[in-house]
Amino acid sequence: MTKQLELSDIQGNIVRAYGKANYPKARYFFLHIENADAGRKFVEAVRHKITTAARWDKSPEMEGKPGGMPRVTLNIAFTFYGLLALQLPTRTLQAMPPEFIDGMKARAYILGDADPELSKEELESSATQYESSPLGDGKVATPNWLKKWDPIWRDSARLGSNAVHVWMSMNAKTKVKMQDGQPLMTEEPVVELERQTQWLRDLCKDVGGVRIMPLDGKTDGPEYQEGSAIFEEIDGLGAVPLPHEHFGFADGIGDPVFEGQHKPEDEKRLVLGRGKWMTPEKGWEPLATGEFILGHPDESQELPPTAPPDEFTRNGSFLVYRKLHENVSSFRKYLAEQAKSFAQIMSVSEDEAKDTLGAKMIGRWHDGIPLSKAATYEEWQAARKQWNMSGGSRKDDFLGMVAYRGSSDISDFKYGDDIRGYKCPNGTHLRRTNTRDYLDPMNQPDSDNPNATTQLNKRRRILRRGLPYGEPRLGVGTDDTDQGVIFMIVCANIFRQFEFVQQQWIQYGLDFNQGNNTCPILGNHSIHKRHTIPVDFATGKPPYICDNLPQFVETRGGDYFFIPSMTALRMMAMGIVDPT
Amino acid sequence: MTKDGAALPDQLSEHDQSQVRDAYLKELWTSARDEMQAVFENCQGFDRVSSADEFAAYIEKCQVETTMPFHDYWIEPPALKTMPWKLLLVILGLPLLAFAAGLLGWVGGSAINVFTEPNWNLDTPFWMAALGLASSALVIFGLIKYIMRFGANAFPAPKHGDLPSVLKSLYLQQKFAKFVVDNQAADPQTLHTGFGKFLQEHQPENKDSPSQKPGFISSSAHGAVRT
Repeated sequence: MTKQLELSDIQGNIVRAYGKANYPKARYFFLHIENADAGRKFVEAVRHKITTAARWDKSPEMEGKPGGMPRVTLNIAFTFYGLLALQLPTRTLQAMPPEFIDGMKARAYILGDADPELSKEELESSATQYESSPLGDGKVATPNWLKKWDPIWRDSARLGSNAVHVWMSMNAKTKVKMQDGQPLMTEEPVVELERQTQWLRDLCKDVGGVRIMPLDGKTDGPEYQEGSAIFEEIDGLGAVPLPHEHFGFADGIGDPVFEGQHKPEDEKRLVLGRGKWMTPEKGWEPLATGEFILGHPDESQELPPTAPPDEFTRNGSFLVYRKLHENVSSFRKYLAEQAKSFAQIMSVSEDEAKDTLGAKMIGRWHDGIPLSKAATYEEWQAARKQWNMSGGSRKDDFLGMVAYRGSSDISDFKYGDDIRGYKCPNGTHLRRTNTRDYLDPMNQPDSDNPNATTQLNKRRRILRRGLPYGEPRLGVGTDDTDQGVIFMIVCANIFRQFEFVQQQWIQYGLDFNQGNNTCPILGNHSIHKRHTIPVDFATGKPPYICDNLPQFVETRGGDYFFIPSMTALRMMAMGIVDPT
Repeated sequence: MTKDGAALPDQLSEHDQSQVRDAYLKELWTSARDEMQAVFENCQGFDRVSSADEFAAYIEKCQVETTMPFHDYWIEPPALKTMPWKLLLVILGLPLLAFAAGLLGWVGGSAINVFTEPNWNLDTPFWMAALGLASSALVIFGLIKYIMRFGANAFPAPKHGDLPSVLKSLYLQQKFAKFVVDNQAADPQTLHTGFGKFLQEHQPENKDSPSQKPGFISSSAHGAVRT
């Protein structure tokens, strides 16, 4: 039996990753609600334009029409203080999850964003003092860890005019231009994006009492965070969006698949490597809907507790918005330096060493081929040939990569046959964020286990949404230019899913026999700076240890949001959320 | 022995153990009273605890006897003494055998006396059974005592489980990891010279110095190294 979801009641960004669905341009808005009456009017106007999860007729002639693919999407979510500003009943608000009420800034200690030498108490007092002091009075110094945050997040106070209440996202398709009778892709967003932005500006003006918050805190500052895929100009195709982030690695591949997300005929293929591994007979199965959407049974086969009334939270979810800056020069420089000694020890060329080291930190080669499938440079080159990703024209190679990304080969693998990490090192970014079958309780650290299951992994999965930001070209930025990833996570329980992965798996290594070592890419490297690459003794080579890892990724702020269902939006707009 | 940080002997009598436990609990209450209250506040009877002595007494009341060892520094399973169970079986078997033979003789003889009236004297088998039963009971009682005492024997101290050795190994582990990283691409000659220097500087055979001071998590922390 395939589960049927009420897709028209669920917001579209829960079910779809727009970036992957060919919406490579985005604008993220943050708004403040000054009074509840205006807020309700605003929600009433917005809810009619929301992109739901209803399936699209994907034919080109239906584009932009009802039932077809929209040219621009629209979604909305609220912080706890946004819900408070809309005067939701206390009984509903008080049953919201504590981490959602806290918000990201208050959770900096758990997320590893704060200075690691501060104790939890010191951190909390520094954040609270900063928050309660009127801005710019010079009496309370900004804590070091907050200095790098964008002003909108740094100065966001829970109560008062600086509080971020609403997140809105617009994802847009790009224009197609005709050249010599040939359609060519461009990186310019369709005009509907600016039109919809103007609609939002006008709406705020009409309603009065809801305003767009500039990102830098100044009245004429940027009114939205821009997101954009990285583009490459390819002969015969035009400017095509690449699936890469600014370090140059293909990203957003192994997103989980849950029950009801896809049509049954697509699900069979998509679930491979992206659901939960049951037994050799049953294979991969989609995860329970309740792991990602409230009001549905989750992997514990229970309805997770939610704030009353049920119809308010049902079909909603939680969103983590997190702006992650990428220090691209540091990354390039570090790889180049390490490649010298790696090349010498492993007797390979420096170019090969650089590609291999990068892959052995991430868990995939830069084109997305997993180490678990192609563990060595030679195997990788062979796989690229096999999938037509190299050797042809740039256009053919690119199309080969697109085809490969659509295949299940890119995500259909496990770690039970690589417990020692000879293929994919145990501490890689990939193995930390999605442990697959590595944490099966029956696994032993020094022997493979072909029967391992994904038991301890299936309650720690997160849906990856979002896009890169910054100059949409690879290799042009430095540490000081503004680029990185707008990292958005959707999950039913921020504490159990996102925060757990971030705290236990990104910022700590014991589950992977890596001691205190953090993720080589996302981890905080201020104290623990190592990443180990295990090597099979049979090869006669020693393991390689990457030491003195610099800080590659820095948080620039963000917050936790609730994504209401269409029903909930209507209840909020009408002021009829009734928990009794 | 009850002073905070003082070394403990390998063997502690039950009385000594209670004293050490109480001293530890009192110290815990004195230095972390708020935390203890937060941990135990919902436990039954804890509302009557208001001093270090009462806290120690409260925890003693909650104590459960186990045979779980509270340290895990064994690299290989400790050489535990095995019970001489064959000898124990013989010791238990003899009186049981006497009882069984006596009982058989007495019951069998009585039956024969009833049907064929040879009027055998059955005093010997009767007393044999009685004595066998009594001595079996005594032996079983004695064996239970013996086995329990055997089980209460302390586990042998692990090799290198003393604090100076543990600290030294923590210290060496960190220094050696750094040595490995620093010499990853070194040629054999440099590696050889470097390792000679390493041995000289860190003296793996010398348990006391250089080493990590107790109370530090990492040797790289300020003031953590004892030279």
